[in-house]
Amino acid sequence: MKTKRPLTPSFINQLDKYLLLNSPVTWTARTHLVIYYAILFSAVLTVLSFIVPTDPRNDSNIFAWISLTALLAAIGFIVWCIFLFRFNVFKRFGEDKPFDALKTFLLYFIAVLFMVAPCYIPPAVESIRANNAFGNDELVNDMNSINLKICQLEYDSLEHSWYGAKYIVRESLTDRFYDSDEETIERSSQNKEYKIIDTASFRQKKTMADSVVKINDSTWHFYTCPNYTFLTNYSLDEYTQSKIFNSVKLFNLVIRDYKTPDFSKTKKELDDLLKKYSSSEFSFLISDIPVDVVGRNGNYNDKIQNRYNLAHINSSFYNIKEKKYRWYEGNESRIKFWLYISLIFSLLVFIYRHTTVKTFFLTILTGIILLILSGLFLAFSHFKEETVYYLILLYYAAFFLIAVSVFGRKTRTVIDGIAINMITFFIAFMPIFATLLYYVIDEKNYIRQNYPNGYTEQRDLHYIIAQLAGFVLLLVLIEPLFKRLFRNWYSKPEQ
Amino acid sequence: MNPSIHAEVNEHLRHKDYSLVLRRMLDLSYDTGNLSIIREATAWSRQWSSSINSQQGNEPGEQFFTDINQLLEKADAALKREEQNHIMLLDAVNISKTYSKGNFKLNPVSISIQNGDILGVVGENGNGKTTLLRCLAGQLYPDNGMVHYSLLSNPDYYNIKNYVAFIPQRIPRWYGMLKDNLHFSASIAGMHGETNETMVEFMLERLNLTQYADLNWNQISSGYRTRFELARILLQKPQLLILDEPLANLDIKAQQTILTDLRYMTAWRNHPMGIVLSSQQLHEVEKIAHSVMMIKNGSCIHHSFTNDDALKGNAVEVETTTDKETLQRVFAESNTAIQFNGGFYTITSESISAQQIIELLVRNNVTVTYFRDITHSTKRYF
Repeated sequence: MKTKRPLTPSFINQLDKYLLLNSPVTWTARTHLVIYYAILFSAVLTVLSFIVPTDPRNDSNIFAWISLTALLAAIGFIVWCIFLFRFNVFKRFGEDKPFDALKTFLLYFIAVLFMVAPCYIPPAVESIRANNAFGNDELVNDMNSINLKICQLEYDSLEHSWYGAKYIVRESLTDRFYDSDEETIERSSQNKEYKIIDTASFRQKKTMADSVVKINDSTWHFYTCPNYTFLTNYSLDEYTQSKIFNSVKLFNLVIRDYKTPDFSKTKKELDDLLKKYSSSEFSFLISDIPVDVVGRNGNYNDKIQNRYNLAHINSSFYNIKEKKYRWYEGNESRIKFWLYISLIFSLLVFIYRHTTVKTFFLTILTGIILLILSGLFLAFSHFKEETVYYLILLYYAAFFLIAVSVFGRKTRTVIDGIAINMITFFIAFMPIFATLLYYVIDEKNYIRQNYPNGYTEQRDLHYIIAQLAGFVLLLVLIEPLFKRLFRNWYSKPEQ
Repeated sequence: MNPSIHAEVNEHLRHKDYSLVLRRMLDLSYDTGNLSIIREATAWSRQWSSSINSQQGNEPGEQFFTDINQLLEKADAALKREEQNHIMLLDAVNISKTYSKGNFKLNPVSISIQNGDILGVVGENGNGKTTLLRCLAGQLYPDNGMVHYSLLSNPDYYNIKNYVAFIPQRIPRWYGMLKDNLHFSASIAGMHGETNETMVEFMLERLNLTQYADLNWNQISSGYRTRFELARILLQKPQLLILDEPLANLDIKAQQTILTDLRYMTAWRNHPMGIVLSSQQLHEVEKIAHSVMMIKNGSCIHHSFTNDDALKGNAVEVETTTDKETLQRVFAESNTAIQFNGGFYTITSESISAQQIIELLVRNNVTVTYFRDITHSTKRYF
């Protein structure tokens, strides 16, 4: 077979020819070519992402990378569609084998998965580069060192005394007063040495105080260490053995038994560390912080921030942390996004391949019109959330009835076609809407979201099951129902 | 051996019509249904076709004739000796169609087609030919009457459209390489692997398309597009082939070639089929069709199979430089009607034959530039 396809090795061309001669359904889906080009594109993108000079300390530029990749993926999708629409076994009334529709859909789904996947490469490479440049514990230790050395160098400027507060604890307060320290106390104790608080405030203060001294059962002294952490920790130690020193730890290490350090050596070590985390690039994070000016009321913390240019260092730590740990959380939603984007596009392609062009676009138009009319109806009827789900289920039931009526018709009509397209597209989402409706109604039994134990976990589990059920339902019904509907409808004569 | 093809091949060899020999040898190989013979015949045809087609009049070498004899022997051994039965393919009874928009109405028409049959549907533009064909092909639903596809039991329309192939007048464009399209068609018809390759090569060679196989749609003329579409449809092996104005885009020679091929193809023992074709090339269609149906204003006004004798008398078309008065004088003694149809005269007579009409013209020194006997032609209804 002669081919003008660029960058394809002979084995791909041989595979292409083999599929053309032996498996037309697979060949027309062009999934093999999509996978090959997606891998090729991913390889180039990966190399480029590694080659292009970027600094992990700088603001992430993955938005630009993802936009570019998404744009190229969109172009790839269009090119794929152009090639895909050239040959169609179904519309040519070719040999109709069992499971062809299921196979076709899965091939489209896999193809779109491969097209969307490269969008995750730039952030992944960025994470790899950040991980290579900075170790997890290294970051924590460096942050601790910076705080420690600043405390050593700035000992004289620092506040050494702990802030103390004395409280008498009562069961309840008779006359509540919200004072300037942002706490609720008994009004009569305002401006007194001992402030009267209730047990709820006591428990809260106890968890937050750095030190607590019990005088007797109802009298307590709370002490708070001055702030010695000049850098924001950004939960850098969330996934590390080493932990970020808090102010108490720094107090114990430096202030409590202060030993005069070798200033020049410590200063040099601090400068080296600050240099390690200084970035010369403009940062969106610090762009609106006036780091160079310390106001008249600026305290020692502000002055130190300004002296060591710590806003930039904070920005670097933030950027590095964002890049290093982005895959530690939120992966579920990333995977869902990937799967749902692929599902939606593969469903659209599947429907387009089984219906007429006119009916396909009329289906989209119908969806838009229904959305507008339903929006107007809901707006004028002071709707509740469940009304939306009732409407969706009602529409689906109506479309389903119209769609199955095609078996009894003698000719093909556009309305039947639209109904078939609609029920095919939305089947994967119906269990989700049904579950949403159930929980919207059920949650009304619990005032102010006072759910019993395990309720939210059970609800979340049900949502996951509903999502899976939608996909499974689509796969199960595609052959016995949707294919039969499309086959019956598309081949019928026109009026 | 297939005696008719064997005799035909000998006849063509005698007249040194080697191009037809190639085509009929390919037909013979196809009739055997044996892939290796088909492959051998295709390769043999490809070997000789370029030299035969380029050197008209030149004698091919001795090897050509040796190969023919060898192929004939192999085909003879492989050919099944079964009588070809005529099987009913389609039976349409009183089908009629009215469009919801517009005034056109197709009045009740009945048609039956067996395999091996060619039915020509002729008529002027806008008289219902395409509507009738689309009803037969399952593309339009008739308002009344019924179409029975005899070889299908309880078919849905997907089966029907697999059974009946419809080639519209405006062939939808193909995308990609032409050969890939043919492989695809063979593949969706269940021909896979080597069978697919062999059959595509055979069909390309049979329709003389081999040299255009690697081109795309934009690179071939409309005549070749029709032939490629025909090749594609034939690879899908329909039982009934319906062609709407297949001759519209073809030159005279291509029309003859296609029509001859269609006639041969209906008789393929390996895959006999029925053909319905509409055309305005009346005489060409009449040459190959087993029956011709004339449609006028939505009604079938003549079906040569059923009412051959509906019109009495003989009729000829004559083109001459002589004026009408002279002609009337020539035929004054015979009971003859002369009608001028803009360019030529139609002379009808119940008393004298077409042969006698031309004799009279020649005897009276009338200059005749064109003469055609249309006694049995539907042309008389135009």
